Amino acid sequence: MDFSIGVAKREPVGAFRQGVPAYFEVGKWDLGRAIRHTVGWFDFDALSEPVMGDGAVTDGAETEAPLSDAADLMRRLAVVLQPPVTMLATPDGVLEWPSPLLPYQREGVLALLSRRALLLADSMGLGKTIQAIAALRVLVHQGKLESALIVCPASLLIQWRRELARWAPDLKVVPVSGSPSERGHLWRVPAHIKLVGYETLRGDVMDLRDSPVLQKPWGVVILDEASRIKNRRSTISVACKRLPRERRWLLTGTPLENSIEDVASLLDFLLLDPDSPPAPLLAPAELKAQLTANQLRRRKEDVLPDLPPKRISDIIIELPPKQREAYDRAEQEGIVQLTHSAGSVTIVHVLELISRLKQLCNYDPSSGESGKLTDIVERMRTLVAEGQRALIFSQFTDEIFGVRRLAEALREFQPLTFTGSMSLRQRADIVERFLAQPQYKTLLLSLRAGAQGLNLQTASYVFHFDRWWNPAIEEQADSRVHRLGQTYPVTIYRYICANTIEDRIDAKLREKRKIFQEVVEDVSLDIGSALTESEIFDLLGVASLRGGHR
Amino acid sequence: MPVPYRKTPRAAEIGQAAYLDILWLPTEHTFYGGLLIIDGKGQPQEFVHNTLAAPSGLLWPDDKVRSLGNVMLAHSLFDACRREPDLLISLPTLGSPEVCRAEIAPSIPYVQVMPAEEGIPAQWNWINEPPSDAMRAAILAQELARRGYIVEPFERLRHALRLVYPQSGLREETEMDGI
Repeated sequence: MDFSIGVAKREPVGAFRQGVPAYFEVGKWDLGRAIRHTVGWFDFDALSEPVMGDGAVTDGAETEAPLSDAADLMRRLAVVLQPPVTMLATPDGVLEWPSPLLPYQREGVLALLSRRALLLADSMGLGKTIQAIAALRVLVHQGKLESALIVCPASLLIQWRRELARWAPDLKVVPVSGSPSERGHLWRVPAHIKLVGYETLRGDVMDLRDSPVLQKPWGVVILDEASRIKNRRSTISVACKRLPRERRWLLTGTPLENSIEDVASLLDFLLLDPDSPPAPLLAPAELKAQLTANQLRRRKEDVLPDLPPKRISDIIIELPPKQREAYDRAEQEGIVQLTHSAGSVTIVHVLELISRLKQLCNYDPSSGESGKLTDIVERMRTLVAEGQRALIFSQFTDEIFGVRRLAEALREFQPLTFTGSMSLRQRADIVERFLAQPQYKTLLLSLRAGAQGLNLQTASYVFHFDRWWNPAIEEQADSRVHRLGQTYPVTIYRYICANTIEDRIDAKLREKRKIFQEVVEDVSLDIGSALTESEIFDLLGVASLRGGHR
Repeated sequence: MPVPYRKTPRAAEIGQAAYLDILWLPTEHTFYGGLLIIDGKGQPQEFVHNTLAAPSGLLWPDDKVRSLGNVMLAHSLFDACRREPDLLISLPTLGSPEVCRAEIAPSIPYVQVMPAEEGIPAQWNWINEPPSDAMRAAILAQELARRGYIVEPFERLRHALRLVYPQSGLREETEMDGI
């Protein structure tokens, strides 16, 4: 088309124009129609529909491309015009993170973004949650993700919501809970992220016909504390593996707790499609190779050289006389009873006796003596005088042997308690109070409820008042304070009563951990199920009573 | 009465920058141009693009065509732009600073980016009168440089041009003279 550019005769437009040279009026040029697109962030109300102009031709004519093509073009344009992912993850990037992502966290985000399947197995306290949220947010901003499902233990739902609000305030998050009808509705509410507990998910996958959870593929499914699916046969594991999913990310600091089969179950989720039969169990070397290909693991000492050190001290307690007497009597009577019932003794009986003996190591109700309580009160006085605060974990929660007994004994330190019998809201309130109000010198937690997911760096001392079967759980508990943001050296105290069942369990734990570490780096184990039945009988020296009953 | 206080401006409030790029494909005798407006955080705001087929023949030597074409296409993009950016940024491929100053002639502060070369980092040269440090354009320039948006937006812009003109030879050309 021949035409002369008449722009020199027009008035300047916008901020640019000062004037156009006259020679443009001459010559045969074919100037197309400039097309303008408004390209903003993604419209979060419309859930990933890009905010685009209409592809308006400047003279008001319509674009000639069919609508679907035009829409596709606009969507793709919106994607390519966003800042690159490497810049999105930087402290000064568009997404304006609430605090800078550390270099290893940025690497983690990029790894999540670049992989369809990834097991993020960083040591506890390195910020796996933050990395996953950051990656989710980048994906949404890139227009590559429309729906994400985060599955976590119920006790961590509030923690996740808090972190999502902080690190991805522009994403719409719908926690799925409530009655079945409420949940049915919530599953259908448009949102970038659905957040649900493992048990709720299991119910909604396994029990509902035409479950809304299974209706369409999730852009990404994230399983937090992914060792929850370590057992291939558990219904939670089966439910999670039925989820239709494009990307799949697993988060856990302990991918192997009991046996090599744990890892196989995790890899099934990562590598197989929904409803596929489990892969045949590979030889350890092959499994390790597969894990290496799909796992990103960094350890604190590698990436956080500035993290204050963690010192673990075992406190060996000699039971005071009356407590010793009560303990010895209980152990002897227990063994006698087991011996008398020789033919019908089961593992349950033995575990019951072990539990009873562990309780007596904590406190003797008949005399009121407790070597551990006497010691911990003194230690608390010392460290409070130094301006420090402590977490104290116990596997028991009751008022005689457990957390409530501790609360009574430590009342001068204004203890707060955190147990599984509290509602999620109550637990969140307790954590808030402990973090915000320094007059509370100690937080007493049940090990099962408090070991995972909490960020409690305002304390720098941890006491394990009694020992759990699983060192991985203890390590998780330690990581509540030994994590990013900790500024003091962390001291871990583990109580062990000399010449008791605690002593014998500790020896067995050490022995087992050594064997496992030779097989897989940094492995942990659940001795409760990893120990053989005969080994558990042997803890009480009653192996000969084992009659094969279970 | 409102209480006055010192407010630190958010990046988005600092202003907007226009990245201008024009690619000349001699094999097609065509210019492809794009103008990408981003805010101080690097967030895209508007993208304008257009083409210009150039005349050929003895009366139109190549250097003249390129010089005129750049200006003509740049102005068509300016005309179409609805935003009012605070800063215009282009690459040296658009012409010498003198030509750009005289012919592109924006009324807003204008910088030319010198992409990084071996051992020399990318830098911006003011084409017209440099703004004082306190000026919005100067603050915006500092902010963009701090966030790493010196050359990077041109990469986005070229991606976008390849996308909207898929039949052109842009892919090969732009890869050859990569920024």
